Amino acid sequence: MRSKFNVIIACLKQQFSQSFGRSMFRFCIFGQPIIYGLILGMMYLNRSGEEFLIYVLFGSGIVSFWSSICFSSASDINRERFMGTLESIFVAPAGFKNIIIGKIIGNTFWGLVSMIISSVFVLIVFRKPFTIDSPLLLITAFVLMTLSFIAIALFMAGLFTLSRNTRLVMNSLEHPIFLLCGIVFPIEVLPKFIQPISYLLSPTWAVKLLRLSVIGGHTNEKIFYLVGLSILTALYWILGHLLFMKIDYKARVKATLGVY
Amino acid sequence: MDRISRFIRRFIFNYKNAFGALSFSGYLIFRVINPFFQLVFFCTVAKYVYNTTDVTPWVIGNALTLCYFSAFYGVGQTFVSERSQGTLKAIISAPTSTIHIVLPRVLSQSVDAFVSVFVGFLAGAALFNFTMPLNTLLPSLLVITVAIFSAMGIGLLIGAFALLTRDINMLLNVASMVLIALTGSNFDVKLLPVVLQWVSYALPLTRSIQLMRLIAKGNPLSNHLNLLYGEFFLGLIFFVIGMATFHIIERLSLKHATLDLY
Repeated sequence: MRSKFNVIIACLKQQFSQSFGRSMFRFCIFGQPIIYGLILGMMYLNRSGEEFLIYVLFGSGIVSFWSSICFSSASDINRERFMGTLESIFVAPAGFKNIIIGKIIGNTFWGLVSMIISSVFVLIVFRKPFTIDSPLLLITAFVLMTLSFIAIALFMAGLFTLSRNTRLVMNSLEHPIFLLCGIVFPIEVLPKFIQPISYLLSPTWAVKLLRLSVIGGHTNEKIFYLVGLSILTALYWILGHLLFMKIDYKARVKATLGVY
Repeated sequence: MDRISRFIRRFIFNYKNAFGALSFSGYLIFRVINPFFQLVFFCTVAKYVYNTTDVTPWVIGNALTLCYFSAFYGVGQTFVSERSQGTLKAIISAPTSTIHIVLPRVLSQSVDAFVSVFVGFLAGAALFNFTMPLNTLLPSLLVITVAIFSAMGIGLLIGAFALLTRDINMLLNVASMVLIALTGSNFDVKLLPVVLQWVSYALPLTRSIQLMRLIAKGNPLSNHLNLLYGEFFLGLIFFVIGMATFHIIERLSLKHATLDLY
């Protein structure tokens, strides 16, 4: 257990500095939160402080957080494959999954930095007053959301290892996810037949929880979204784990892991 | 006649060079699906925030802005991609003027920009009931053409500066997001601080977006020709500065033998 932890920490540290070396990642961390914060802030200028908080401050932060965790983590597999190191980390005694989790957590730290940048920018530039109904629920929702994003990143990294075509799909996923999950507007705006799809995605539940923590709501409603988010997060972890088992099997049978 | 056929040949070569390596699904994702969802995303936000069913101004703004992809990632990478392929020195030492090599590339990316803009309007029509009167078709086409010309101009300027930096991705991403944020495609530029309003009017597309919104409201183009001329001259200035910058860098790199260094 301790050695597993050490592996994750070592990969986390390495990823922390390696990711920062990429200009696209730096843009995701520093540029994107500010620009999304500006666009959404200007659009929500005349809306209530609470809506501003949920959809601008949290929204622009989640947008950047999502990009830095999920897409960067999924692309890391491709980068390893391109550099010819995927096979090496796959057979390393440290454990392929542990290495990937370390990388994802490294990206999570940067994702948190991007959220902080976005929040500070929006707070300083727009100075909108707001109140938070339940800070404790806010922190809980935020922690659960982070865990859920890590699980999604693990799942996507697994998919990316198995299929080369997912790279193309991944590049077109950003805006659909922002749309489906109601990150910058309530999902009730979407057509009714699309809304069930939204509930299959954990960011939808996370945003609902964040919203409840700001505007308040019935306890049963809060528990419902907390449980829903937890179940989905657990499901993503299980799916991610199953994918890594499949990778292990396919890599041995087909021997095409490093084929670009 | 020979010049024209050579130009057409170069245009075809450039188009194949830019998109030949992309699979059909790749082209579909990058040039159709991504622009489609980007427009749907911003228009849905606008629909909710401004509590309106008529999102025509946002469809126009976001559809025109979609040409940034071809301008920045197509034209903006012109010189850098030549350098990475090792052909930049061949281009410079060739007896053909650089402008004759650059223009077909700009034209091929402009065709692609038209596709993206068209996809944007199509998405607007399909999902947000976006319509324009038939008599506005020609003025709208003219505005789109000038808007794309202007966007290609800034793409070329960035392309020249890209030779001076290793961080081309950062430069292109920041430039494209600034274009989305400050051209008034999603909110009125008058809401911005004065300094940012100056920046906004120094960027391509701001005037085209305003003009096309006016045309959609039924205003004749002839009443707002200043916006069209403004956009055209802005594009021209970008082209001239872009080419001049490239020539300065070219001279400096010839003198110091640093053209291929990056």
